[in-house]
Amino acid sequence: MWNFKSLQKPLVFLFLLCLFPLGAMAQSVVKGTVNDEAGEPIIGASVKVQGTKTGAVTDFNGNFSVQADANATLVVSYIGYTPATVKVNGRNNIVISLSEDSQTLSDVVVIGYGVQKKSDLTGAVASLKGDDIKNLSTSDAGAALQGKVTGVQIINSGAPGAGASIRVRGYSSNSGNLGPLLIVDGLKVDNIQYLDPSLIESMEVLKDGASAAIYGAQAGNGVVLITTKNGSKGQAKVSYTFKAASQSLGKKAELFNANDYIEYHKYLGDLVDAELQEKAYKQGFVDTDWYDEVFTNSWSLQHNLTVEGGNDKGHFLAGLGIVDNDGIVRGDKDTYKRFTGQVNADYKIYKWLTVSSNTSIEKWKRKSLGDGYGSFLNAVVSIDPLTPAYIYDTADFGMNLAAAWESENHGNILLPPSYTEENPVWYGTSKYVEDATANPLAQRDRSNSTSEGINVRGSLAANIIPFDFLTITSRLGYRISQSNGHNYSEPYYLSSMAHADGYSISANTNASLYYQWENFANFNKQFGKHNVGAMAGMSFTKNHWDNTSASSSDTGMILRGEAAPNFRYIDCLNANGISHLSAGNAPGDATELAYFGRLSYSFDDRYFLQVNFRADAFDSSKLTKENRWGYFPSFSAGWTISNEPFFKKAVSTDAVSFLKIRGSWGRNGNVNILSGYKYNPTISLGGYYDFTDQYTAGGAATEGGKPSILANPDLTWETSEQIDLGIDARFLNNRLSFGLDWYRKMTKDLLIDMEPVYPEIGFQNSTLNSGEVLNTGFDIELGWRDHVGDLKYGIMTNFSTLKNEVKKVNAALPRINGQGPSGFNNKLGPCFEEGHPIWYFRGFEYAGVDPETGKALYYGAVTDEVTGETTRGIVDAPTDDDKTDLGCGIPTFTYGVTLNLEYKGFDFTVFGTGAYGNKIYNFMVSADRPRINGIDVYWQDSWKNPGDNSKYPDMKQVATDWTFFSSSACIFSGAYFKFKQIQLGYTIPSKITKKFLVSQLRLYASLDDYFTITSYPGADPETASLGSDNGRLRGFDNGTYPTSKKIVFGVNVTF
Amino acid sequence: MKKIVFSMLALVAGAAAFTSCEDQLDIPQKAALTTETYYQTDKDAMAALASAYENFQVNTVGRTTLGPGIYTPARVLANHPGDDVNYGGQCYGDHEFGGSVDEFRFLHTPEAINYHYKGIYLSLFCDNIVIEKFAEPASDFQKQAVAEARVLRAYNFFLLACYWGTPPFVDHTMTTSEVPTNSEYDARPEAPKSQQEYFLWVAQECEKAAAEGLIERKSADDKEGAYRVTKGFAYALAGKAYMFAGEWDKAKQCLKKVIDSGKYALVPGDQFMDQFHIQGDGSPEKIFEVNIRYNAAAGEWSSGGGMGWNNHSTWMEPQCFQIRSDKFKKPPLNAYTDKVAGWGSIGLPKWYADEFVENDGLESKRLNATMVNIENLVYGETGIDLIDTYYSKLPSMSHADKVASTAIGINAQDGHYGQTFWVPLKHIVRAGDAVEDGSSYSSVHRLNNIIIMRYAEVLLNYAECCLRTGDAATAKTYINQIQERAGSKTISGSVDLVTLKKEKSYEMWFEGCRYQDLLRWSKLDSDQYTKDCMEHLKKQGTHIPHLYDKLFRAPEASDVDVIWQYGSESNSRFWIGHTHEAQDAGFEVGWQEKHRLFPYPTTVLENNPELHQNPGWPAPTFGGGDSDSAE
Repeated sequence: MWNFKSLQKPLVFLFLLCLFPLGAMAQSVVKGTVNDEAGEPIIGASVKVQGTKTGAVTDFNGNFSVQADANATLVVSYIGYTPATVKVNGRNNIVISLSEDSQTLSDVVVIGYGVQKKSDLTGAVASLKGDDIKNLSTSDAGAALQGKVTGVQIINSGAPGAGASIRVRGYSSNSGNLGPLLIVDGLKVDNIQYLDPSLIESMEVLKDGASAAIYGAQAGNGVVLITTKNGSKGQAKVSYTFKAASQSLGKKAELFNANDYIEYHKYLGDLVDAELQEKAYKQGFVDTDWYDEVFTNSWSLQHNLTVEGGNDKGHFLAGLGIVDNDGIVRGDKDTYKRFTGQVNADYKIYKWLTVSSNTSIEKWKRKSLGDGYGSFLNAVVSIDPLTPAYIYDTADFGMNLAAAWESENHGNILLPPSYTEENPVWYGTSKYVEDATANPLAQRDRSNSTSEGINVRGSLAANIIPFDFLTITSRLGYRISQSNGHNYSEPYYLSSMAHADGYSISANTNASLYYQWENFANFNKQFGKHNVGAMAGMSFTKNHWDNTSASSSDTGMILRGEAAPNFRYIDCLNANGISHLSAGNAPGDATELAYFGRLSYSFDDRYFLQVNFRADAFDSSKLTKENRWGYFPSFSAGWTISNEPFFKKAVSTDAVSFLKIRGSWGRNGNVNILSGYKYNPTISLGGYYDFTDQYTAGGAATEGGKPSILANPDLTWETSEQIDLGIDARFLNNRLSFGLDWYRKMTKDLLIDMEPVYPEIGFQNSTLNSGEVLNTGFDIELGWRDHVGDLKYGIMTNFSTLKNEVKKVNAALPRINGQGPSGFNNKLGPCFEEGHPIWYFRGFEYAGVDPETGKALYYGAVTDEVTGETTRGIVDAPTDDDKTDLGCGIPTFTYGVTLNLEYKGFDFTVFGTGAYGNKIYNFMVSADRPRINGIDVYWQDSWKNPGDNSKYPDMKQVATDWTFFSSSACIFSGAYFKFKQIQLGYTIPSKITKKFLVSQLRLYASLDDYFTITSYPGADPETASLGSDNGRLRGFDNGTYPTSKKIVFGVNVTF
Repeated sequence: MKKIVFSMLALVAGAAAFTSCEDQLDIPQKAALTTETYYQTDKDAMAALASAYENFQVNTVGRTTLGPGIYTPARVLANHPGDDVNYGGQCYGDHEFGGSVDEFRFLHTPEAINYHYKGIYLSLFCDNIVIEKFAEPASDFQKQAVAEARVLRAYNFFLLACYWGTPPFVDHTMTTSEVPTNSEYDARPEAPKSQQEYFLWVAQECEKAAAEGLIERKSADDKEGAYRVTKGFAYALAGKAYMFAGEWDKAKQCLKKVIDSGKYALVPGDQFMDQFHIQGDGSPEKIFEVNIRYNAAAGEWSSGGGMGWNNHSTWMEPQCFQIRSDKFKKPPLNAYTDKVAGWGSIGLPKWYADEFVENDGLESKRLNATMVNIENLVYGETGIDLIDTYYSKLPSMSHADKVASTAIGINAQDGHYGQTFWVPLKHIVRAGDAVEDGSSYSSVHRLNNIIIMRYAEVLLNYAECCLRTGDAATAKTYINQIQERAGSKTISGSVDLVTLKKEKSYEMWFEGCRYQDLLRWSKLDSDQYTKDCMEHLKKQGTHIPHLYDKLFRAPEASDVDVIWQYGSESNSRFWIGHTHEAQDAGFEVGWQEKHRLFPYPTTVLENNPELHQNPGWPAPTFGGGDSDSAE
């Protein structure tokens, strides 16, 4: 039963037709009120007098009046509620309570270009309602999915405004585009971070190949369909929600404090008392906790205001949202501000024509700080605790600074904003070790990077319904996007490794217009017990972008006005700056064309069949004309056993309320990997050689030209094929629900950027389709809902397993040795190799300590001197060949648990998520700079005396040994369970609030991300990982933006 | 009503069938020319040639685009295996790219070998495309471009032949279906069948190019004549290649042409040091050097199809070379290097420095340009203006006070790894080397040119060929020229091959000659000097010096082979102790016969069963399992 009314809630002619007064009052003989179980009036319920044609509809307040005899029987019904039959028995003012129809069977889920009854599904579609996520502290729709649905992993970052990444059923490729296709109200969007969870009506994740196949070449990583709210029919509603989250630093890494640091380094022998004395270290006075110096409490505020209403002809919703998040770094260098407006409306112009429009306007602004080598976040964990955050005397200068201070312009030594000649203050830098970061606060203050932008995302649609079994839809979707970035940095000098000799300034402007035009028709008709559905359509999309960037840098001053803050623009470049100006611009386009269709058939609500097909074509920047078309079919079937007469006879519906099995096969593609005419050999101009003498002749460099790439005309997209088998069941009168899916998703033709098989060919890289990745797993959902008297409770759990394995890379390239985090000299790197999970950690396998000598032992090849046989045994100097698979940053098991309790006006929620099987490589301790700080776990459990039975070796022997610090000794379990939310709310009885014209008022307090259970010695294992879209750097931790824990206070008011 | 419905239906159906959308899928590529239509005009030839030079600069002799961060593979492979270079750094394990080569302890392909091999082939492609596309030159310039590309290609093959013997002879642009093989297995008659044939091919190719289109340097003052391939360089390279092939007379003929051309000269001794800095760019002594130019428009790392100026420079190499400042109480050289605080990746063996001092004397311009004594460095008494000025800011101290002062010195408890009493100076960046047009670009870059061939080498090569053909008198003339210019106290009255070998070791330190010369000499000669040098090679990695300062770290009983600078604790402040960390870690160190050739990179061999590993090196297991066993 396809329900287009709920699919096409959008509507056109937004504003004008908003709120129609609904009038329906009649003569009265019998009066009454229809309420739901909570006592809230039900608007628009139908009240019929049994055996007559008389009837009425309830009004705004749930009231009705109908002409009826004193002993008549009333039949009251409303969609989603169990109909009630009530005898009048001469009463007037009858109060009728309808209970919600727990047969969620009738739930409708959104699928591609249509909707379907949940009970009719033949694929694996996870569905989430807006209520499930509405009170989370995140302002990101993607992050809201975490722990709520099975088969979906969310990768969060702690930083304000950093969007969450979504992975549906694993990691299917080595490419950077592993996120699902995102569709909001039919519009393909580039992210869903802008979408406030409170505006969401439902989110559906199309997980299996068959469900996603209708989106063809773009659906290889799954599809997330989001439907935003529209005005509900009935009384106009104004709601306001406010959330204030007090954020503070979550879990810290277990770093050395000053005493331990000194003790450790004295033991290593690289620090002696004489040095401490010479450097005037004040033992007991200086013990800097850099986390405390850098992070502090901060507030994140959110406001949402929604106005909605609707009647038989149309619906309207307007929403305003404000997010103002000042991150936990002291100062205002990490902030995220967002203003969003949403207008959704639809209107039935004729009986056969409905028009609708959804529009979202977003304005955002972000300031952020970086991670990785030499960054602010790396500094927090690497600078020693003997160094104060600030110093007030030049005698306390760190290494090399005194000399720099004496030189011209004080050698570009960076000064804190509070520095004055009378009260000088400098950033503290280490006297003990020079590193690339020197002082996190200086790194923070040096960064002046902002980005901001405006996005308009919207759609206009018309539904033509010539017959009740046919709906024809034409929909135009668009995104208008504009953003700007600015950066300015001054030269600075903090240490020989942390410095920049020049000024630099950059600005960029990005503008793009995307549109899609889709036309499709849906047919649905019942023939006796046979139900036949069909859909056919086409889509054309075009994306156009035009980005411009400009930058200048030099060691001489490049700006006029002494680079005062209001002179830090490209406009203010002086002659020197202009001479070093570089700029870039080239507009670009991308287009796609697709035809798609679906056939579905069901018999007697017992047997279900569905076939999807899509043909996709992409533009010439991605594929050659010959290869541009791709075809993506799928098949699926379901059998509702519980509707079989034999089953009904044998099993009570009280015991087994619903039982269905289903299976599907589908093919999808991933086209994101293709761009930039990778198949086409062209001459790229650029590069230079100077044949002239630049000093005497003022000569100019000659520009070069050479073939850009090793051509591969056979390039095509990645293709995945997925089998899904599932069971849906409900027991004990629908109180216990259970869902189980098993899938096997094989992705092939991975686009591999590799060195040519024969590097003698003279190209650095060639791009070809090769490689296969297999993801298999179980998605399990288990829930229980019941009530004990007034106490309603429910517990919903979900579990997902994931086995990810690279099945093939290339005959000539069994292993891709990925680039590890740049700037570090460790020997452990990410690898993509046959027979292993994608981007596993490849390093030395630590075998423990020789208790007599304290020497570190490893596993490696040992050759038997007698037989000459080589086996894996204990060695003390492993070679590169002894490196092995030490685990992977991707969890093999993720789960979520939500417990809800409701009692009278109180509600209580505990929600947590966890991951297991993921490993983290902590490389804060550096063998080439042993004096930088890092986690102290090795030292705490290290060998000190012969006979010690310790976990780690004699640190004296390994402190400068990259073998140890590139071994499994530095790999930790990243398993965790996090209480995402513990929330207590109270809804003030409407009897009270109505006096203040408030129909609902809920107050709540919540602890979000507050408790994390983990054994990981670094910071929060959920976010302790450098970023990279393709998962290559998952689990590499040397300091990342930490998660914050939040105390949230919120108010929801509905007028 | 029905009418409206059907007209709407027709409209939508029409829209759905609107397949001319497919035209929209054809989007022409912006900023691109096709390979077929390019390579026609002189301008195209100029651009193609510029790419060939750029790739030579970056991928052959530079840091390559393939990935090494802080070093240039060409310099590591040409110099680190020499007996006259130590591997230094913070400690053992630091700068492994140099350490594993220096100490001959790479069981498997070290990264520098991998990057250099692949880098040279990247560069060769750009030579081949010029040679192929303008095979029938339509103008004199196109002819010249082809000739220059041929010599660049010859140099690439010269390096390949030195390091790998008979590497794949890729003399054309390969297709993806061709499988490269060692040239000795290459069925084509033109493919050299031995290392010697390779050298001969290089020499003949250079001679041909010189005869077919190369220009000549206008005069010794013609700087631009040093920034590109000229007849002078073609003959200099041909001579060197003939010498490597043992064709002494042919070598002499070629080298003599360079000497007789009058386009090159040794600069005065006062300017010797400048040859390795920006002031020496394009000097009369430069036969060919890659011209580095800062280019703001090129961007930092990449520039469209080319490379950014970071790639053009050797980027962080100067930082690697510079003395490790964090080992010192007061960082030495700061003013000299303009804040480049170094990592100390190269050091000098004590025997070499002692011999150099003994030969040249402390007044030698060459000696003082090549290395600096640790005392002079710490006390700021080098005679080099910038260094001494920097130290003059110390409170005025007598020499005796300085000797006893803990305000200066080496305060690192583990000493200065890999260093002895003389530390390298020749390739240490000068403040001015990162400056162009009066602006300094970055303290970690250097913009002075990369020398490919210096006239002094031509003279010494010529002298060697003369000695080998019995003409000691002519050899003496040129050896004496070199000695006189150096300001050496030794001006040889008579010369033999050992005189020549020693002279070349002082003159050409860290200029890519030593290791290949030793390999050659050890096969040709049986003199004691050559034997001693080979013994040094065999002991590499067994005795790593650490330079200490007794005021901060006095010798302890556990210190091995303590050497005081002047013989005893009473008259010396600095001392050396020795370690052998690589051996401790289980590595076999030191030169062996198999090191005459480098191994082919494992990653290349694994994919190509047609490529045979060099003798003594492990062959890979095909299909690339993990079981590549140690030899």
